[in-house]
Amino acid sequence: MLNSTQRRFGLITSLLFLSVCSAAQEKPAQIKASLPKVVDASVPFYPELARKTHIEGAVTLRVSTDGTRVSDVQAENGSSILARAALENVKTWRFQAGTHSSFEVVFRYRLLAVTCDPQCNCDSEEKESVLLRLPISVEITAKQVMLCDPAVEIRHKR
Amino acid sequence: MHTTGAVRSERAIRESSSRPDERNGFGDRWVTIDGHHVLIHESEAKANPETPRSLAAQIPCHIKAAILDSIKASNSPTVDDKQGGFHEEGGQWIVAADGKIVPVPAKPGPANPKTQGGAHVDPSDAINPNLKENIRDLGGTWHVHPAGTLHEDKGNVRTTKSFNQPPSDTDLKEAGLGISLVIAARNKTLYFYNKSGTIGAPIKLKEFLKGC
Repeated sequence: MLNSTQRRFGLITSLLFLSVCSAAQEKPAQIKASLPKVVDASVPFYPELARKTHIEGAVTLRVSTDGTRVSDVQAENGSSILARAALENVKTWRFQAGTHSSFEVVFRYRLLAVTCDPQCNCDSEEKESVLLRLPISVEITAKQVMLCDPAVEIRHKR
Repeated sequence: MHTTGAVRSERAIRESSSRPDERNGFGDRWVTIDGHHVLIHESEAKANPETPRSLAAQIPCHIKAAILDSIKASNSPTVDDKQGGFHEEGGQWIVAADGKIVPVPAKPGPANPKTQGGAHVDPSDAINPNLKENIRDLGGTWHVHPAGTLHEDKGNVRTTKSFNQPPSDTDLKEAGLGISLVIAARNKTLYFYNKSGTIGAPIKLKEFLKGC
C-alpha cells in the first residue's frame, strides 16, 4: 500500500507528464482559461469492492471551488460505489488560488481482461494505470478477478 | 494485533480508567503505549476464529441453492464443454442497499476437455450484471473446481488427468472481501479459504446443505 507521500509524489510526476502532454493538445482558449489548475491531490484508486464485483463505468461529477478547495461536489451519474470513490478523491484536490469556478470531471473506471497460461500464471496485457487529465478527466484501470486452477497428472502402473 | 480502526485514546477514556488492564467489552483491552493508556478493540473474529461450520452457518439457504446449481452446471455440458465436468462455474452473493442478500451467478469459464493446463473463471463476471446495481457489500464468492477426469493408457502405465480440487494460489491471492469458498466437484467437498490458506478442514457438501 502506498503511503500519502508516495501517492503525492506519484501525482506530481503524473502532473508534470500531463502538463507536457496538454501543451500539445488543442483546446479552445476560453475553456482553458475557465478551468482551475489543480496543484495538489491524492492519487485515485480503483475501489476494491468494485474490482472484486466487476463494476466498471464512468462517473461524472459537478465540482464547485471556493478558489483553492472544493466547496461542493455532486455525482451526476454512475455506480454508487464508483461515485463514492470519485467524490472522496475530488475532495482532496487543491487548486491554484483563483476565482470561484464550477466544472465537470469524468472519472472512468475500467477493468483489464486477464488471461492465464497453462501454469495458471494470470495477467493482463495492459498494465494497470491512473491517467490524470486534471481537472476534467481521470481514467483508472485495474485487473479483473481471475481464478485459475491447475490440472494435475498422476501416473501409475496398471 | 487487529485493531479494526477502533483504537481509542481519548483523554476522557484514559482519565476514567484507574486499571489499565481492565476490559471494556468483548475483545477490548487496555494497553500502555508511550505512557498513554489506549483501549484496543480486537474484533470478535480474532477472539473467536471462524471455522468451516461457522462460515457455512452464515450462508443463507437460497445462496446455498445457487451454489448447488453451479455444481450441477459445472457437471453439465456447455457450448464448448460437450461432456460436462471440464469447465468452472462460480458466482457471488451480494448485500443490496435494502439489506437483501442476492445470489449473482457468473458466466461459465471456458472448457478444458483435455485437462491441459488450468481451468479458470471470473466469478464476478455476472450473467446478469443488473443484479449488482444496488450493491452495498459483497457477501462472498464461490467457484467450482471441475470433476472431469481423463485416463490415458500407454503400455502398463495409466495416466490420470484431473483438476486440482483444493484452493489454488491464484484463488488465495484473490480472497479478501466476504467469504471465499471453492467446491471440489469430484469428491463433493467444500473448502473455505482466505488469503492465508484453507480455513480448517474441508467439509462435505451434505453437511454444508444441512438444514436447507
